[in-house]
Amino acid sequence: MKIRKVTLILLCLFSITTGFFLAVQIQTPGKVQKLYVSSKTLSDLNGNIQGELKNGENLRQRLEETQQRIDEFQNLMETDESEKLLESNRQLAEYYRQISGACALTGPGVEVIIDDSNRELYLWEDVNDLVVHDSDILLILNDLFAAGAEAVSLNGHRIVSTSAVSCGGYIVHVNGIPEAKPFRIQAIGDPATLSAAMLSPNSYGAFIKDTVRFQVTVRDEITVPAYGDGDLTRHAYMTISKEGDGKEVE
Amino acid sequence: MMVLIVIFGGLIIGLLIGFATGLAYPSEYTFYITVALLAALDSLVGAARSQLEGKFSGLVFVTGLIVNTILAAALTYLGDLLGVPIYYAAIITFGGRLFNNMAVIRRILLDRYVLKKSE
Repeated sequence: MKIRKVTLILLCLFSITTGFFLAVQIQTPGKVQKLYVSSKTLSDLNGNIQGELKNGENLRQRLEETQQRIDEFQNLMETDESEKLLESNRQLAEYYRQISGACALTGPGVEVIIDDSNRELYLWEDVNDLVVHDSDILLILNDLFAAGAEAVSLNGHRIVSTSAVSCGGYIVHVNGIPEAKPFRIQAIGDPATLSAAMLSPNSYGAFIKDTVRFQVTVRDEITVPAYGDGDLTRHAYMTISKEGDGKEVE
Repeated sequence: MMVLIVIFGGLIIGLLIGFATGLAYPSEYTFYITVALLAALDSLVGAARSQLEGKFSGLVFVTGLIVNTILAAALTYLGDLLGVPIYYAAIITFGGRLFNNMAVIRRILLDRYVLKKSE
């Protein structure tokens, strides 16, 4: 049982240290609550965090923009520059009038004409395949808007966000007004992009070219009427529209 | 016997000091410290056992202590990096050895003071 004093002191000090750390460990909150997660979960969570951060950044930006506008208005109120306030509101109103279809617009664009095919039927071919349908028109309109068309009209009816193109037998209803073939779509926008969207391989335009008459013309100047204008000038349809509206509402 | 008193007395004193100071460290490190503490306890109990068996060596004790502690912490860190709970290895090894050493100590003490078989 021979043991050196130095070793004893060392052992003693070491035991004290271990005991000390044990006590500290016992006092530390949230001990041994470690969970092992797979790296997939980690990367998923990381993606979530990044997405939320981006979301927050966007919201902050919107807040900043709104704050800026509030500041602008407040500034105008304080300096009593009613003229300027009116002018800025007028500009805003002008912008909304343009995008909502409340006024006629002019600019470069394309003109698309869709008509029933005049070729003969193949053997066993259905006659419906060679007729223009509302769905054809809708898909073409969608393609135009997707390609960045700023204003679109169909046979003189402005296409707005509440517009409808629906089947009516041999005719098609546009904004609730019956229209017969040929269908003339006019779209203002970048002519190159719009015509490419109509004619490029695998586009819907290229697809229906086989069965119906489909013609795209680039124009330097196209005038798209305001919403309601086209209908008012064609009184034959106007009366039907007005009567129908009045009777069907009840 | 002296060694046993020193070790357990020291542990108790250390515990008292620790509770008196009321310290706590950031919870990120608790895991490493837990495993390192286990290694330290294992070394201490191992020292008591070898002393009772009469083959205690200060050098073996100190090197074993340092290497075991560092290895345990390193294994835990490696497990953290790989996403595999390697620290289980340290816990099982040290825990098992603790039981083992305690059993040996108990038997030696029983032999010596209860059964009176030794000198």
